[in-house]
Amino acid sequence: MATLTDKYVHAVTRSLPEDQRTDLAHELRATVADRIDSLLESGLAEDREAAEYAAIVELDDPVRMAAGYTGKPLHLIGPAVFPAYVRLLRTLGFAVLPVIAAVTVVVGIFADRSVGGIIGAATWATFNVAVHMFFWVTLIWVLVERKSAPAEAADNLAISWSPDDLPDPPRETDFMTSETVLGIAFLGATIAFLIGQHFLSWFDDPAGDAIPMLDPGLWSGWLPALIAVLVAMAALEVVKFRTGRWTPALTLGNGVLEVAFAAPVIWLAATDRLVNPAFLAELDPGWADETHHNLVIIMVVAAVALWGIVDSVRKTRRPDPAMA
Amino acid sequence: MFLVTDSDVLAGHLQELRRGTVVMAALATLSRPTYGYALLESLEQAGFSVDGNTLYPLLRRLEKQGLLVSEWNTEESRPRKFYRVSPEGEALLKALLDEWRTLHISIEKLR
Repeated sequence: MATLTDKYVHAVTRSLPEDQRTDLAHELRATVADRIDSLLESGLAEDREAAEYAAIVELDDPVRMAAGYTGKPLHLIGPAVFPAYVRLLRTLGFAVLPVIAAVTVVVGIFADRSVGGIIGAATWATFNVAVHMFFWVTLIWVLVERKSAPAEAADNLAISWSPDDLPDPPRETDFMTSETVLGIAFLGATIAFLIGQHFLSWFDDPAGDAIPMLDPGLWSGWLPALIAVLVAMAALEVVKFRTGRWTPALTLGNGVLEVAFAAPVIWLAATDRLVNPAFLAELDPGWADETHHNLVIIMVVAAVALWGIVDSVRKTRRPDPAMA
Repeated sequence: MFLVTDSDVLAGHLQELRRGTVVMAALATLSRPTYGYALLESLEQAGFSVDGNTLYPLLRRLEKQGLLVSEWNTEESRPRKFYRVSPEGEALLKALLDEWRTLHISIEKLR
């Protein structure tokens, strides 16, 4: 039966060039044997078997030992090329993945798929492309780095870094891009709801037309005005993002717009003119008499507006004297 | 403030410093022919704790560079490969030691 030493020596020498194998195997055996003797003499091991085990443990992973002899790297992507590797993956990811996602969505729309189907297909396609990109880029880099002399790997991959590669720092801003995008998306969704509720509803009248959620009479005046305020709010989001912080003027503008939206809605709800009575009747015939829904609308709208104002006032700063 | 009693930090830096001197220590020790395990033990006793999987490949590398010569000794019961420093190795050790002294002087001047 093969001893631990046999197994270890084989594991180390198998990846070495033929001409070094025998010589190195003999030397390793002698070294392990010396260590075993030493462990037994010093009483650190109880018997020969334990001593052999301990001696091999000290030598650690044979792959590491063999790499010491061959000089082969013990990594896939080494420190010399790692920064450029990450940079390339990031650049490729940002350049390719959104395009893949967008193309899949467009194809899905033309193929008349359901919304869920389109999202699923786009996610799956983007994920697949991401995995492939990661795999192939990594494979090519590993192969090139392994075949290159250490000093030449960067040249062979054409990735020498220079100060010209430095990107612009992000603009000084209090607002995250995602925050602004979300804010505008929310306003867009609100506008879409105000318009959409007229054409799509949970209930249809006997003629098959949708019963709007909001009183259709509001279209002559109130609803267009509210939509105009929402558009102005979206514009304010953009200006705010470009300015980079809440200035007193922006805070004032924000307050005016918040009030311009909330006040009419609250007033309409308070005078019970907001929700379409026909819609309420469909919802629950007994419910239409009560006015809880108006109270809920008033509270929600007031809370949102109040929060918007308080938040902006809280964050308003005087212009930074160092920047002026 | 750094206290010398802060043993983890000290040990880390000392190890870092000694890692670079293992080649010098090996070349110095190998003025007398020695085999791998005996060299490992002498280095350990001298305070250069080096792992076998670092030292044994290092010996082969130094031999390949012509700084060491080796010879199998079969006189004893266990055949062992003995390494000895070559004239080139001596010259390199001298150059390294000169550099070592220069570094020491430079650092003293900086203080």
